[in-house]
Amino acid sequence: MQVDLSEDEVILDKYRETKDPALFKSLVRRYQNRIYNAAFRILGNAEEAEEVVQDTCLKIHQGLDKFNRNSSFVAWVFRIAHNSCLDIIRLKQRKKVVQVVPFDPQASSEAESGSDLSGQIVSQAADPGPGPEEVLSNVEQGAYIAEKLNMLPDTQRVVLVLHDVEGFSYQEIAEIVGEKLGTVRSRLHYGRQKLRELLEPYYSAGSISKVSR
Amino acid sequence: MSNTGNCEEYNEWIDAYLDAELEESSRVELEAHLSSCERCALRAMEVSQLSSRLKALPRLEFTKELDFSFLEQDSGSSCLPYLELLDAYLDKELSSNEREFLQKHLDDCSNCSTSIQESKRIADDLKALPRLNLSRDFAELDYETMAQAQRTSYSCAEMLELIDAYHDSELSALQKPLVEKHLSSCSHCAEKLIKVKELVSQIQALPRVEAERDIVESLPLGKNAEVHSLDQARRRSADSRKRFGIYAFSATAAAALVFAFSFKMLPFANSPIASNTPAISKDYPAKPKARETRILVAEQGHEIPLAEFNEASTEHEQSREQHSLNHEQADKDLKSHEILSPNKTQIAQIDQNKEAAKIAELVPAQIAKQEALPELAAIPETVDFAGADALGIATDEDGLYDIKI
Repeated sequence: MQVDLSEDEVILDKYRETKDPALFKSLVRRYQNRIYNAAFRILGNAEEAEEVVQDTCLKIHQGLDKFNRNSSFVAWVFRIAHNSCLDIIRLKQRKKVVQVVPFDPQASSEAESGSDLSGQIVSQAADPGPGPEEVLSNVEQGAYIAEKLNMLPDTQRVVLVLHDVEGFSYQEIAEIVGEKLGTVRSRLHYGRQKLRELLEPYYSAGSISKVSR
Repeated sequence: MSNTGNCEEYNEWIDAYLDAELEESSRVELEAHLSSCERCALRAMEVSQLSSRLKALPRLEFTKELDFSFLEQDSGSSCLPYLELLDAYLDKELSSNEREFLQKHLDDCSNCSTSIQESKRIADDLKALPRLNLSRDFAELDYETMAQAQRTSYSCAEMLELIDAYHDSELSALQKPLVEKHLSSCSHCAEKLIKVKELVSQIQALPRVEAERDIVESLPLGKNAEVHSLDQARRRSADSRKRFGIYAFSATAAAALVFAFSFKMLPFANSPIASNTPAISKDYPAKPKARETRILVAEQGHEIPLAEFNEASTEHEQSREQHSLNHEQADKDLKSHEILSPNKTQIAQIDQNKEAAKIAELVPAQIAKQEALPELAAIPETVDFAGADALGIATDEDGLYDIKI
């Protein structure tokens, strides 16, 4: 998963020198899939993830001159992507507030579907999730884990995705999310702990042999 | 009635007095008051009774056996300092000191070891999540245009690069309105645009020079053919002018020189120059043809106002007359031929007025009026092109039409 950093810098320097669009394209191609997957796991929505990719690429294009070598290029790229994700999350939270205000107990099904977007607590209460048997037979393992991942607090989910899905080091994650190393470590620990609790019925249903590698 | 006020204060002391917690001086004072104030004495008795009743409440025996098993099972309290290290340990993100510190604990604590295993499972499951592919290649998007579309304004620094392209109508549909918006609000940049216009008009106003018509017309042989070929040459030079601008001037001038000198060398007996015969008469048949040529040029889309044309034509006649008279000295005069300089200025001014009108359309009107015109009026002084003298070329009316073109 790790990208040769020096290669980035070489392409970057050449692009700054020649302004050859092909070089910028090659930079985008190196990262667009990683950004997309990270954003998809953070946001849980493919459309929004593509939005993040486009937004990130545009910001890279506009801000390439602002990139200094204090951090690695990839960390810089993901910091932009991370901020783009946060923008979308905030936007959704604002929408969610608007949705919840006219709450009507009789329209419970609507409230439930609305909360699925990001309201973990409500969806947790409304839908305890499929039982272990159901998990094994019907729901795909990845989809189930992804669903539980989406229930984590945003800050914990971001750190988990960046580390376990994208393979960044703690230091890189600290740069990306703009927090201290200790904060990253703590969030990762509590995120995994929470996820473990959420996946408990799945693991204890005898799926350990299937899941663990 | 001051007593009542004091009673309030003494009331507060009663509880402390009954509990023997009141300091000596206060106790003496309170006792003195209680002996004189029946109300307060009564109240003190009530409090005393309540207190003894509370004391008399039955006491219960605690019989339940407490469960202290959690102390043995859950080593949570002792594991607390290690918990946050577990995941970092799994991810190999601990410092060597921390690792050592935790390792000792892990040797004894099966709970924490299990916890690491469970974390590993979570991490592995997350790693194993299927990766998605993008629906399209985002590298192929036009970020330049997208960035432009997001733009709402340009800074003056950005305008520097855009002003010339704006003047030459080479901006995209996205850029043009933004540049215009900036120009309408920034007199500094509007001024720069005027400067660009001035420079361009100065370059465009540089005089064009062509071969001496008289020399050509005085050819005794193949007059029609000569005029025809000259016409062609003019068209050709007009074409090249479009492409090469100022270089065309030098080329034309050089061609004229070569033509003139080669002609001079021709050993024709009839040649007025070679034979030193008197000047050609005014009604020489080549003249109408020359005018036709001019009209042709006018029809090709070069706007020559009719009045200008007529005026220039009469001047053409006059100058030709004068020219014919002095024809014998034509060669000598070539180098200092200045006959048409007033005309030159006049036409240059017409150009300036046109330019000024265009500027007034494009930039804020007040700026155009205040600044563009005075400066533009000064231009004719600088119109004189040193190259003409340096090359020893003179201009005539045909040359002037070219300036207009």
